[in-house]
Amino acid sequence: MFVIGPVIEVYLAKTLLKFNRCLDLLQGAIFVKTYAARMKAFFLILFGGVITGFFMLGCQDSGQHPAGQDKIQVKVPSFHDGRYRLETKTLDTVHDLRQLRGEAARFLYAPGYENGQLVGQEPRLRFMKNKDGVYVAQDSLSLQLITMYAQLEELMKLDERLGIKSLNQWPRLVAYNVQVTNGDPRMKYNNALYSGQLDSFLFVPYTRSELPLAVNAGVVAHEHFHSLFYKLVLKKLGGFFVQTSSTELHQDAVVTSRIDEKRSSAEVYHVSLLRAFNEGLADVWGWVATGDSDFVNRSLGFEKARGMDIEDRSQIPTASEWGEKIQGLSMSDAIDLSYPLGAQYAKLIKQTTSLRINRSTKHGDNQAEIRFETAVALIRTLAGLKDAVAQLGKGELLRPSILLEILSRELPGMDSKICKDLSLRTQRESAAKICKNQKEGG
Amino acid sequence: MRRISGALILFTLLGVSSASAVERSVLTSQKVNSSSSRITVGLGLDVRMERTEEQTQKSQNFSQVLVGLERERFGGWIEYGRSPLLTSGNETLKVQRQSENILMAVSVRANDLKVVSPYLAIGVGGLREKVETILYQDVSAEESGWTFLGMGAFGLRFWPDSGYLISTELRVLESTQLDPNPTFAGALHLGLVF
Repeated sequence: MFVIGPVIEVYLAKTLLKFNRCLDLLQGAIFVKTYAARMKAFFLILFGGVITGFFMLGCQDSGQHPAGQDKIQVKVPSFHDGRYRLETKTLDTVHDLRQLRGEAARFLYAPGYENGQLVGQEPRLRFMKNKDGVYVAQDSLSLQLITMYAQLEELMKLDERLGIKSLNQWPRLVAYNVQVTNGDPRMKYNNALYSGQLDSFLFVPYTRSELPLAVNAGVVAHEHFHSLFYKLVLKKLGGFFVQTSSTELHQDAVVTSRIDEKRSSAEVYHVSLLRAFNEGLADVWGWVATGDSDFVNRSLGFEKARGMDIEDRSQIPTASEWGEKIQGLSMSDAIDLSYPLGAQYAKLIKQTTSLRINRSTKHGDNQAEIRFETAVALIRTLAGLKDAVAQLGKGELLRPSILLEILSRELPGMDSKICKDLSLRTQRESAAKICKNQKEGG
Repeated sequence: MRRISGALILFTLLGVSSASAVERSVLTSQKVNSSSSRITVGLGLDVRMERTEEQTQKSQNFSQVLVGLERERFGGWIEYGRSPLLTSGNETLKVQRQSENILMAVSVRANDLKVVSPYLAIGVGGLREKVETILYQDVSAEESGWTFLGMGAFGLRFWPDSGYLISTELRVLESTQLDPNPTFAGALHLGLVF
């Protein structure tokens, strides 16, 4: 103890002396006496700041999509469990996030129309990357378009699963903020349409306070179905059917510029009836693809009557009843009446499918899979419908119930009770043909 | 970005080496007027062009606060700037965005002009974005990391020897988070010099 103690004391004293010398040097450094020395200190600090900045900031991801990396995560509104909420989705096919180019869709902002084509610029969008590496839209336009892209990517995958992806040209062309300068003024706002001639989706400005049409997955799926109907039915039939291939979500806005008003009553009959089929099946497709049976109402609250869960026990009209209804009307007026009939079809098909779902889920079957089976049946129905129209004899009128007759044969799981319920909704002339395996010549 | 950072590193290295050379040459003459360094404090407005949703360009105002040090012709400052809250969308789906930046800058000006003295400045810093997305009643608040921001500027300092900071600048800002990039901006600084 007497030996170690002094040794420790000497060691501590020497250490303290060295510490004091360091303090002296530090004090000397703080009070720099020359101007040049101060500037050297200044530049050293700046140098340190630049180096620090370079390493801490310069290598940060700017939020721009790295080239060559297709999988990215984005935060978008998504329909789930009966409502829309913000969710993180993985997109597999985006090549360029800033101009939103990818395998599923490409966009034009407020395009013009020249030589039968849409011409215009691709919008430049704004995204940032959050701390989890998820891309977040920084304005409403970017959010709407990236949401629509995500929906179209899902629809592309559905088409691929159904074996119909090659029917359409991908990426799909979407025109956003289309400025309608002539034609029906009701077309200018709050609407979305598919044009068969342009093979494009057109979204006019949305001015309501509800869910924007571009974000509404059911609406995008509805418009996408019009492209399938056009490719599988109207285009194959040719003639005047092709000229009336621009269809809209909202019934009050009808494209009249391409419709030849001087038509025979048979043409008016068939065009309006096919429009009813098109709109009704498109509504069903909107539900099948998204699970949302009330998607129209979410963006267009005045279209509450189109909700597919609203019970409708009315009967589908006969051919003569439909003929009487549109008797003497112009083409555009007849097409106006197609939308309520289309809504009737949609409710009926949804209710029929719901009965199937109720029976199947008791056995543990997946609702999404049953909706997929319905999608398969709808595609097969389109082929049958095209054949039914093509086989019409001269002067013969297509039965309005033929859609249900063909669909009932294609839908799986149609037991006798469901078939009977469906047949009660058609007129006597058609009731016997529901769920029956027989060729229909019209 | 690499070129700008490399240029800045070279600039500071040159500054260090030249200052060291000067220091060695005057090391014997220790007396220096140490009282001519001044502190600047001020507020500023940075008006920069930004692309809008309508695909046009519109000016965006950034409020700034800055603090700096200057001596004779040389100066440096740190500034913090923030944009107002920008809102787009409708009652059901709305996006609110706000940007903020921090900049460290150095400047050199003509020393012999007493009323209006032009100067050049360069700076580096960071830009950060905050976004709030509102869908019905769901609110999602997100923040980006800091992204590199570079600045070059030509400015005019008014009455540089007075106790007031009055200057205007024409700036070029570079950051991959800006659109357009680079962005032109005008800045106005007002403050006091101690």
